[in-house]
Parts: sequence; structure tokens; C-alpha cells
Amino acid sequence: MNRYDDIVIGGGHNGLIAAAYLARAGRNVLLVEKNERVGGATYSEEILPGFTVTVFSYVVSLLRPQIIDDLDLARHGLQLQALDGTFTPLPDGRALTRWHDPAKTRESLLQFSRRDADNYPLFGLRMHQLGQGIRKLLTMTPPRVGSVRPRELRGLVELASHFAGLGDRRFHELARLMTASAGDYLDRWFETDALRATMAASGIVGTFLSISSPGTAYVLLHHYMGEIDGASRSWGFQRGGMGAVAETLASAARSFGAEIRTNAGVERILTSGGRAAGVVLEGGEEVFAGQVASSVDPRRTFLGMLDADELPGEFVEAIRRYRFQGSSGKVNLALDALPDFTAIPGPGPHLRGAISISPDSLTLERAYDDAKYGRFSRRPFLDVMIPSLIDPGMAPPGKHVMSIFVQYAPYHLNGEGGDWDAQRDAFGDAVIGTLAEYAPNLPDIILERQVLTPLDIERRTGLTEGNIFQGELGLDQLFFLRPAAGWAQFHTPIRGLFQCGSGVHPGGGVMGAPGKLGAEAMLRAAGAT
Amino acid sequence: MRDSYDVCAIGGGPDALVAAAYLADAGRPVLVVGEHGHPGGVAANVQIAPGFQFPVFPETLPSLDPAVAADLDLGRHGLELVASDPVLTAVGSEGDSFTLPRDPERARLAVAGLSARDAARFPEFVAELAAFGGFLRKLLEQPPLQLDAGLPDAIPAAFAALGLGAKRVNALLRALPMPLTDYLNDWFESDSLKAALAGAALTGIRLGHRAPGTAGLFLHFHAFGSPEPLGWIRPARGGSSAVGRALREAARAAGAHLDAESGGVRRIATDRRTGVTGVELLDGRVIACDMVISDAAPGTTLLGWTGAGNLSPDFVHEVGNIRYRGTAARVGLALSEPPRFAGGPEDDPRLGGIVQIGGRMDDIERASDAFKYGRIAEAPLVFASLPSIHDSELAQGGGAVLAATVQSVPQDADEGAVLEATLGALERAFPGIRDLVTASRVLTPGTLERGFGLIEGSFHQGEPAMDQFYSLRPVPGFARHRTPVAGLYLAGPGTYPYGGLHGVSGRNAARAVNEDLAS
Repeated sequence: MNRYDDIVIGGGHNGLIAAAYLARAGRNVLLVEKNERVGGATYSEEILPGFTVTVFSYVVSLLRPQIIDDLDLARHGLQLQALDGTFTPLPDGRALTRWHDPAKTRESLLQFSRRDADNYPLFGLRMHQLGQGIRKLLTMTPPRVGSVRPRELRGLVELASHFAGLGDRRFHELARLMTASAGDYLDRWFETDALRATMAASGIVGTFLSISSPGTAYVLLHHYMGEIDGASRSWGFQRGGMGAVAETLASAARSFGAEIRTNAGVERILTSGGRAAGVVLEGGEEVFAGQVASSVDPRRTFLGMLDADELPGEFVEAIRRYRFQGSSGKVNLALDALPDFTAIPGPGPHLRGAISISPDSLTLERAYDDAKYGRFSRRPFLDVMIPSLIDPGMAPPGKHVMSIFVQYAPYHLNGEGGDWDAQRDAFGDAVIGTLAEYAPNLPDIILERQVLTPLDIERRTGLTEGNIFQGELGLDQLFFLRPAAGWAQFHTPIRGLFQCGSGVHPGGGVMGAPGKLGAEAMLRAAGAT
Repeated sequence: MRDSYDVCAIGGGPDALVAAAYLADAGRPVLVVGEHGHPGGVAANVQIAPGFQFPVFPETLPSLDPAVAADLDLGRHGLELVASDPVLTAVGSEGDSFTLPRDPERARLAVAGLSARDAARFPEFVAELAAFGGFLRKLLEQPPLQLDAGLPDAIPAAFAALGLGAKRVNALLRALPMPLTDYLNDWFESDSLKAALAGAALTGIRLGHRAPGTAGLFLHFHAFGSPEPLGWIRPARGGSSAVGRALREAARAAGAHLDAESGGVRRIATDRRTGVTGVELLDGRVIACDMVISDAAPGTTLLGWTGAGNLSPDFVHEVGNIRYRGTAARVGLALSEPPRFAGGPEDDPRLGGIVQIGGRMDDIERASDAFKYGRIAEAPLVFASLPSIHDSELAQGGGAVLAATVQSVPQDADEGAVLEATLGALERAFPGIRDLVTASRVLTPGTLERGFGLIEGSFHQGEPAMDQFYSLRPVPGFARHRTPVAGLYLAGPGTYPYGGLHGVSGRNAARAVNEDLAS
């Protein structure tokens, strides 16, 4: 069969979720994926026999609970295990730890500052309150600013009244959170620099910004969103690694009747009379559909799969201006034993959560300064996990796998020392060397290492410039401006062509929302015709 | 001086004088209290050596707003702004330079020497600056919109937005929170051009051009008067003291009384029920008044003079957390003769404008890095000008005066080190300038704090980052000049629209006072 109601391009989590929602609504859906398996950046592989690593993304941050329910993902094998806290080893041998158990967190923070120990739960409470103010934004279709059409104006008025309903205090706090730097915002709450640095680091993951860059504070909210929904299950680690998340999504999509074709890269999007008509697959096969949705990033969709003359010139220019600037890399290790940290020797619960190499603010600033001038950070920020401690099936008995997210690794190098292919090993060495400062046995227990530069991420996942969010998460590229003003409502200048990836609202890091919102826009459009 | 006035304008800066002039003109009895003995504050010159003076206030920040200047008839009181042409020359690390003419058409021709593509885009860029500047200028006409301000207040802004059109509104909303470097990258490929455009908007702040929101600062400055690229740079002939002098005369002519003897304010007297009751001066006198406008830093006015005990703990917490972060030093040099560019002529027109040492985007960014680590940059970003070219009174002994703003200087940096770093930078533009220096004066951020009441030496009295801007400035909920204390009003750069000697916040605060007096 070569005719469908809807075609979804790209089998990453957003594409899969879009396909599942469409099929669930009774549409005849085909999802086409370029690689031999679905998953996109949610993907696991063996780097040594018996050692499974989750290659790119490494933690389920915020899969919306409603999506888990709607798609019945638990039945399809979704099994998220909460991470227990964060361990920040410090150069002086002390350890800053935060746990699910508030009493244990308090005990750790008291070693550093009574004031911080007192403020920490208050901060969490404040984030909860503010998160409720922002949740509406994450689940709505952005307004079209500047349009005077009644429907669009109504959207703006609804938005304004939502904010007005928050009350002065919460609105102001939200405005501050949206615009402040993570470092400055946390400065108002905490005096322990290691705590500030570790918390602020979550605001820069995946961006080309530093913890003192304005606009990075609001990502702090994300870490409290899951609990707002009354479900800590939305924050965690999937048994079997991230690849298993993709498999549950694919399984859910298929159960609703969606067809999934792998090894089916899209060469171009077919249009007819200014309307999307289907896709041409690599190799020339044509598949037709009334509606097409792309979950790949805006640059690849609009500049790669369409001719510029099929789109308005201004739109093409806006997509050209849309910034990616990938800034992160990944190192995956197969280990003969567990790392032994100087701050907390031996095995223990501190290894079961996130291990954050973020000892102080200035170290993170220096890491950013390296990247600004086109070098990878000599002493990068590292977000480390040992998945085999949570899911022993990921490594042979007694052995382990380690996932290290690394920042900064700028996609555009300054040329000194060669390109990324020439610098991959030096980059890997810098990562291992930095972590070994805190866990001296690390170099001796490595059985295999997989170093992924932003160029590798681009090559293997198709994410432009290796940007894990399909576009920089700056205020100028969020909400009604993502990916371009006037085209943030999931449709595009080509009728019947939709966007449903992280390159549209609400962006990456909020797993699944663009896929769901994109599918809903398609269902509305299909109902209207 | 009488025992009582309707309004006391304190803080002693230019905005206090502007507010006083407007209110006196409206028939209100007004007293202006000068801090440190002279109303005008930073709108002053200081001596380098006998006969040689240099302006305290940076030339690269906006000058008097044309509307305020016209309202107060400042031309009649001796104020003359110099729109030098060229406006700025940016000098790179290898002595290479790019000069930006003030006239947009000649600027386009200059850009053509760098890149044909950039020159082709330049007219559209100029048009966008004019459109954005025009819109932002309308916002200057009233205090920032605020949640509790009510819908009618939003109408002028809404109409201005309609006038701008949907396309430009979206472009502006996108541009305001951008890093300046990304905004300029959208337009241009020439690094020299981008560096020449980017530097001045960062005057006196910690943020580099990679910081989100710096594009907004750049565009905001184009609201002040002249919207051509860098058109806001129009320092007063005679230096910043000429601004202070003209404002004092305007205030006096309108009928305000200027106090120059008391030395300044000790505290603002308040009553829990009725609010402001008067002002106690440093010489012990108490002046009764129902209303006070202060253009001092918000922390000084509220925590220093009003007292935390008279404010709610939440408000005190907010005010206490304002970030100031002054990062600029001012350096004055007395020179035996005007300096020359390498190979440049004697009457070089470039000497009439700003000379920016820092000709590459990375140079500018690197210079801002040093501040994070608490040191002076090895190659600091410097804005130099020669005010004596426009007014020989500044160098009565002959020769010339060079005034420099040096970015990323720690609070109490060693003056000798600042001077050395400055001379090192200036040598790149003017080889041999060291030999011309006959005397020097360095004002570190710490000196500026002690001498002019600028907290942490910030010319902006509060870092103009996005979370401290527009309706969040100086603190959320109190951006419209009023404070929790009845009768106490804030003006000055600590309030919207922040830095510069433009006088807009003084005018707007005076309007708020007049509104409240009328109701």
C-alpha cells in the first residue's frame, strides 16, 4: 500500500508519540525512519559483548504522565525507575549529596551551610508553585503574536488572564525565573557554591550558554515538573536503557494500528498545488498521504526535504537563522569494576543516582570560556550515571557500564588541533582525566570506551550540529518563536505539512509534548477538512 | 532655603534635577539636595591636573533625550550635544581598524570595504534599527507596563505595536532577548563591522555580547533620539559637567531651589500612616515635604535613607538582592598634544569620535571574561575620546585631554595597574601615546562608589540584565517610580529606562508625582 491518511517522518520519541496519537484516533498512519531501528536519540547498543549502553540520551526527564496514560505505555513495557539523588564529589574530598529523602539531604547540606539546609526545601516548594504557572504554557499551542484574527487574539487574552490569575507575586517570580541566569537566581537562595554550581548546571545542559547567562534559570523548573504532576515516575531511568523507551513507544504505536518502516529515509517531501502530498523515500519510492508531519529538525525538514522556492522567502530566511550550536558530547564506558570516589570510597547508594562533576561556579565558567573560542572544555561539566547499578542486565555480573554526558563540546571548533575526527581521542582523554580527579581508579577499570562528539551525534542521529534539543533553547527560540514567528502552531507554510519534533514548542527536554501537540494539530486539521 | 517644600529631589544626579525642573515648572515648590556638595552627581568633570579636566560619565552611553532637552530648553542653558562624524573607530589587535561614519549612506560605503554582502544588507539593517528605535521610543513615554497597571495603560503600547506591524513586532520580540552576537550574525558576516557595532552597548556592564538580552540593550539605546547605528552616542560639548550645569540652570530658572551646602541626605523621615514627612540633611537641618524623588541607587534610597525598619521584609529582601556589578573604570589623561593614529593625519576626523580598542568580537568577549575571575583583562575593552577637541576649556594648559572608559575592572583594582592596562590598549591605536602623557587620573569602580554614590561603581545603578529590566526594574511590582512608602518616588538609572544622561526617568517620575498630586 502506498497511500495513508498521515505520514510521520522520523522515528525518534516525538515521531513515535505523534504516530501513536494519530493511530489511536483512528487514522491510517505510516511512520518512516531512516535508520534500521527507531529511537532517534533514545537508543541503546552493545559496545562490548554483554555491555549495553544507552548511546545518546540517558535519562527520561519529563515524559508527560498524560502521554504515559493515553498510550498505555506501562503495558508496553515502560518501567521507569527513579534516580536516587545527586552526588557531587568535591576536590577537597568532601561530598555534597542530595537524596529523595529530605532528611538525608538536609544532613548533607548541614555540613556546608545551615542556611542552605533550611532554604533547600523552601526552594523546592517555590519551584512547585511556579511550575503550576508554567505548566499551562507547556501544554498549549502558542499564540500567533501580531495577528488580529479573533481566534488568535482570544489565545493572547487567555494567556494574559492566565498570568493575571497567578497574582502579582507569582507572576513576578515567574518573570524573574524566565529571564535570570541560573547562577544569579540560585545566588538569592544558597551560599554554598558547589550546591549552586550543581543545581545551575542543570540549566545549561544542551545549550551554548553558561550558568551566568541570562535565561538559564527557568530550566531549574523542569526538575520539579514531574512531581507537580503527582508522579515521580516521570523522572527516571528505563530498564534496558533508553532504547527500550523507544521500543515501548513503537509497540504502543503499532498496537493502535500505526505502520512503522525502518531503513526508510525521506529524500523529499512531495507537494502538489502548495499542499503536502506524501514523501519520496531514498531510492525513489513514493508514498502518498493527505497529511505529513516531520519530527526531524526544522533545518533538515525545510531546507533539506523541500525546495526553497516551495516556501515563502521570509520563512526560509527565518529557518536559516534558527540556531543550533550543539554544545555537548557523550562518553560511554564499559567498566571492569565500580569507580571508587575519593569523597565517598567504595560502593554505595551515592553511585545509584546522578554523579555531577560541577565542583564550583568558576570551573563551569572556565569550561564555557573554552567553548566560546572553539575548544572543547579542558575540564568539562560531567553528568555521570551508572545504569548497570539500576538495571544489572546491562552488563555482565560484577561489571558495569557508565554514561557520561559532557559539556561543553562546541560543534564548531576553531580549527587549531584539527576537526572533531582529529580531536575525538583528546576529547575523550579530557573527560576521563577530569573524572579520574575524583575517582582515581577509573582509568584502570575501563574495558572499552565510546566517545561521541557533537559531529558524531549529528552523523548518527541526524540532529543538526549535534544539538540534542533540535535548536538552541534561547528565549528568542521558544514558545511562539519556535522555530519561527507565525509558524509555532505546528503547521507550516505548506498546507498539510506539520512539525512534531523538539524544534517546535515546547522544545526538547520536555519529552513527548511536541509529538502529542503536533498530532493534535493534525487531527484538528483533518477534522476540519 | 525654606523649611518646607512640596517636593524634595534628592540623590543629586541628573534625573533629580530633571524631575525638579519639570515640577518647578508646574508650579511646585521644589528643593534639590546635592550629594557630595554639588547637584548633578555623575554629570561632572574631574581634574586630572591643574587646567586639565575629564568627564566622569562615559561618552558611549546615551546623552540627553531630545524631548527632555526641548521641554527644559537646555539649549538656552548652554547644552550642546556633539554628533561627531565618524561616530566610532574600532581598532583591532594588529592595529587594523574600521571606522563607522554617522551618516547611514556613507556608513554603507564604508561597510562595502569589508564585505559586499554586508553592504547590501546595511540599508535594511538601518531601517530595522529606525523602526525598532521608534517603537521603543514610544515606550519611554510612560513608565513600564505592570500587571496591576490596568488595561488603559497598555493601549498606547498596543497602538505603537499596531503601527509597527505584525512582522516587525515578531522580529522585535525575537531580537530583544537575543545575545547581541547572534543578532548581528543574522545580519552581517564581517567581524570588524560586528565588533564596531557591539562594543558601546556593553558600556559599564559585566555581560559580554554572548549574553542573552544584550541585543535588547543595543536596540534600546537606539530609542534615544537618533536611530542611525550608534546614533545615541552624542556626548555634550564640555563633557558631562556641561549636562549638570545646563540642568542646574534649567531647574533654577524654573524656580527650584538648589542646595549645595548641606552635603547631602542623612535620612528620609517617614510616618507609618502618612508616608514621607521630610528629609534630614547631613548638616542636621530637617526639611518638611510630603514628597521625595530620589535618583540615587535604589539600595541607597530605600535601605540607607528610608531604613529597612520602615519597609516590609519581602521588599527589603528584594531591594537588598538587586545586583549592581559596576565594571567600568574611567581614566583621564592630560596629553602634551593630541595623539595620532599610526600613519594618520594631524587633523584626523576619527579623533572627534569614539575610539574603541577592541576590533574583533572575540577581543570584546575575552575582555569581559576577566571580570568573572576578578582581574583586569590582559587586553581590556577601552572606549577613548578626546573631549578637548570639542571644547578646549578642558585642556586650558594646551595639549589635549583623553577620557577613557575601561571595561572589566574589579572594584578596587590598583590604579597603577588600571592605568598601565589602559595605556597598553591605547598604544594599539596610538603608537607612542605614553610619551605624550603629562598627568593621569584613574577612577576605579570603588572610587566612583565613594565619590559619586554609585553602588559598586555601576553607572547603571543596577545591572541591566533581563531580570532587572523594564517592569522588573528596580524590583518587580515597583517599576512605575512609586514605592511602598507613600510620597517616595524613585528615578535615576536604577529605574527604567536605565543608563545614560538622558533624563527620561526624571521626567517620568515627575509625571507620576504630578498625577498623584492631582488626584
